[in-house]
Amino acid sequence: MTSSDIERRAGLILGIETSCDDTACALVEADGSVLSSVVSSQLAVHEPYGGVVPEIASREHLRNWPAVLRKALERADLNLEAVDAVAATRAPGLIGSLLVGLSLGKAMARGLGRPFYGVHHLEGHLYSPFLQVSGAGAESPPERFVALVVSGGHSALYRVRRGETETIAETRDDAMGEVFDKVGKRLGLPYPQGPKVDEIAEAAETEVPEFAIARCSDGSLDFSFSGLKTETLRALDRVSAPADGSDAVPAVAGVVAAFRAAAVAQILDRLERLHRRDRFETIAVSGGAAANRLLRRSLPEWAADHGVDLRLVDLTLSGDNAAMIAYAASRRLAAGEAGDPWTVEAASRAPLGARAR
Amino acid sequence: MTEDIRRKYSDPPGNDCASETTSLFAIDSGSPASSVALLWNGGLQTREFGVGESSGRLLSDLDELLALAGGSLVDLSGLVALRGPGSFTGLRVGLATILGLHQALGTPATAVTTFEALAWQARRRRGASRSPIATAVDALRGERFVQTFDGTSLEPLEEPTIRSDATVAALPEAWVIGFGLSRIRALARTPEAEARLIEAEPLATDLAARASTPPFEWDAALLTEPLYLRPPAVTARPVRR
Repeated sequence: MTSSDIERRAGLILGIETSCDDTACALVEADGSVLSSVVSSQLAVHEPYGGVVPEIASREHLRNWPAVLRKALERADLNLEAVDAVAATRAPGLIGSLLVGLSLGKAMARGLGRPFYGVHHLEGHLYSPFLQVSGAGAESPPERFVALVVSGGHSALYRVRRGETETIAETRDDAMGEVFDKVGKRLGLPYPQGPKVDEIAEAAETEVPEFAIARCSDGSLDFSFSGLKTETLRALDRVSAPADGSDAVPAVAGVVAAFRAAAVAQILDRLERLHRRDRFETIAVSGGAAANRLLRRSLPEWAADHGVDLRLVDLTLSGDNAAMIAYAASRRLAAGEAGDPWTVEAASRAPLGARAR
Repeated sequence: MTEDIRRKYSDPPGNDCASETTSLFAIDSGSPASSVALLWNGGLQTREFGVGESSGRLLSDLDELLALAGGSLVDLSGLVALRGPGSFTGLRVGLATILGLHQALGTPATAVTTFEALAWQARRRRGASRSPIATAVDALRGERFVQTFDGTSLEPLEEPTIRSDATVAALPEAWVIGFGLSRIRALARTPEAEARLIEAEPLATDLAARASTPPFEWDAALLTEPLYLRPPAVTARPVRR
């Protein structure tokens, strides 16, 4: 029996997400209703190391899985027999972490006699702004929309047309969330540094110096955050130990606020230029860095000014979660796609859709 | 590397016979010669595959073996995976696969250490012996994790310890079994010691034999506790609150 031989039934999807350091399981109905979404964070385990340690993440996924599954089933008040399909993240991510979730997912699907869907992590994020946290069904994504995914591992713009995804722009170096973490590391903040950098910026009274917005010389809309990171780290070095012995904290906070402003300005710059080049009506914004407070304040303003319908992922679904993986699979199931074969493999890197010309 | 082996299961010397009704699926995806085995109504079939192939192979191999045996997944009475030590990632792929099947089917499942599987293999291949069996797993850096078992009862005689390759190659009076022993053969001090080095073969057969031979305790909790023996190679850094 292969996964694709199994009769497809639109219904309940069990989602599994283990691409990085969160062990997640969710039960999602065919219409996108999230019955349960459990995320077991490994923050405390990785904190002493200042970042995610891949081998530790893999070990924790396997150890955490039984409790995470049990909790997801309990919250949905269901048992495994009710599941109609199983989905797990297959790429991209930490290969050892992906393999744990993928192996669990395929084996559970085989054991239950249900189809299995290996889901691209970014496809999960991309549709997550349409999920409702109220328990209602997902809003139907429009036939055409632009998607912005910003996280610790990704910064990319996509164009989605009738379910087909095309990459408009991606980062040429660091991801947006990654530079927030690196700036936070320089400040000696504990992992995860990004949200703490956002907090410091939020409390700052000034934004000094003013950083330039990086653009690619070839006119591409690709992102680039490493120059901003370098400039920020240099500025932090300059203000961290004032020669006159004055309090460095306000100046440090000012640099951090200026850094955040420049990072968000780069995002808005790309949206502005894309909209000028190829007007779009809807933008869906997702990913862990979509929790950034300045970005969440700036996007509605930008969207209102340009008459664009903004779908901003709910804060509870901005980080890695399994509801988005199950929902992406439910869309494939609804489109009549057969399950993936049992031989489907994990991949640490995998593009999502072709690059737009 | 795919090698089809289909042969009648023969009782290992000195072992209790596996029950005719026992049906087991066993996975070793953590050792250098990875393999799966299906024990079905006394017949044993195995498949071997290379390092890194396990994720794409395990379930399709299971289906192929079930089809050959005329068996069905729901009628399996046990599931077993190699617990380690071995390749960290490979072990987890096998353990997660068995765990997923166990959760979906409710079939009893467990994990068996590499040491115990090697000890069972040594007795299967060399017969019961007064000499102890030293099972050795490559720990890299010129060292091996070693656990010694009684050559007849297969009771462990010690906790796993780490020993140099030279010490392992010269262990007095013990059969020494493990993967990659050819690399330490030159370190054996006597022809007798060299003759006692047994190069291991794929272990899935021995996992199945162990799990099908009473007394045996099924403990699915072991599936989430691989035997790593070494911590991840990483050190904590100071952070500012």
